Amino acid sequence: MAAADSCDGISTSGGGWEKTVTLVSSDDARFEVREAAASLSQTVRRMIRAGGDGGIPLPKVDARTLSTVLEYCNKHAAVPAPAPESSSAEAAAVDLEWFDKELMHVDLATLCSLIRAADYLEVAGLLDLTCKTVADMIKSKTAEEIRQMFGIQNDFTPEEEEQLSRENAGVFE
Amino acid sequence: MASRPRPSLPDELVEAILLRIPPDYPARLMRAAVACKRWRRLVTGPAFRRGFRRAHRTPPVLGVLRNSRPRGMPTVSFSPACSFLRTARGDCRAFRAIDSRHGRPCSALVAAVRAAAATTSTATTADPSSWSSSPLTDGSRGGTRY
Repeated sequence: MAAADSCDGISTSGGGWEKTVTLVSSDDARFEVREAAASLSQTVRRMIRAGGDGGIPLPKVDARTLSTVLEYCNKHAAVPAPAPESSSAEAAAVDLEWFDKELMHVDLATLCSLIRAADYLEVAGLLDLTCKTVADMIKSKTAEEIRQMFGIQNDFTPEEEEQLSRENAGVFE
Repeated sequence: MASRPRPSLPDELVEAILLRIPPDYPARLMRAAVACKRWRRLVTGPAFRRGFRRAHRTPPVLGVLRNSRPRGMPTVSFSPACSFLRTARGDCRAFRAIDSRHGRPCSALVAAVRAAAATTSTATTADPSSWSSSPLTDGSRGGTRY
């Protein structure tokens, strides 16, 4: 079966037998991960279906970033299907929220690497989480502070800035 | 020591971030939009506007339009709901707010309608001159029918 070709083994963690796959980062680091966790990435899921030998190559993600992405996937794949109104489901949601918050305690460059990786790997939840985190960092900043954060050159002429200020009071404050 | 690499993202990912700026205070998005021309182009593009509506289904209240008749003159007043809009033009005399479509208030130019009605056929009053404006840009556009 083609789908089984890229699965490298089985693990017994969690008390059950689970398929694992090996993901290979751009700098040739290998990560063995549960298929259920890896499949949170639509890109990896397609590659598993397509089959292949020697692990799944992910040439656009380095080891450091992939490690964080897999941390996210392992945690989120471990959460059981929510049983409505149950206190354990509520506790699991709180735990997951806390985990996400902790995972986002990184600098902007790392967040941007995670955004690129989440986009390439198509991990929708992580893309949303990382983009929201950066949006929250931006929302209380002035235009100049945003430029400094991202290393953006101000390419408006003084005349254009004056016009923008005239049309949108407080936009540069 | 090597300098820290600057974070860089392609257009679609910058858009993905800007789309998630909370819409309750428009100045936040506008400040980000004027960081550079590229970001301004992204935010003012039709794809971004569509995405923004999709992401934030309930649009924020930017302000309130009020019809009044100070000294008998029909007047539309706009009271902004946030300080960012404080320069939006205040009163529009000889106009009356009659509707709002797609975030643009539509106002009829009462004087023009009356003048036209007085000099031409009554059909003019059924097709009144009208005016729509964006409180965000203070830009106005004539000739809108509704």
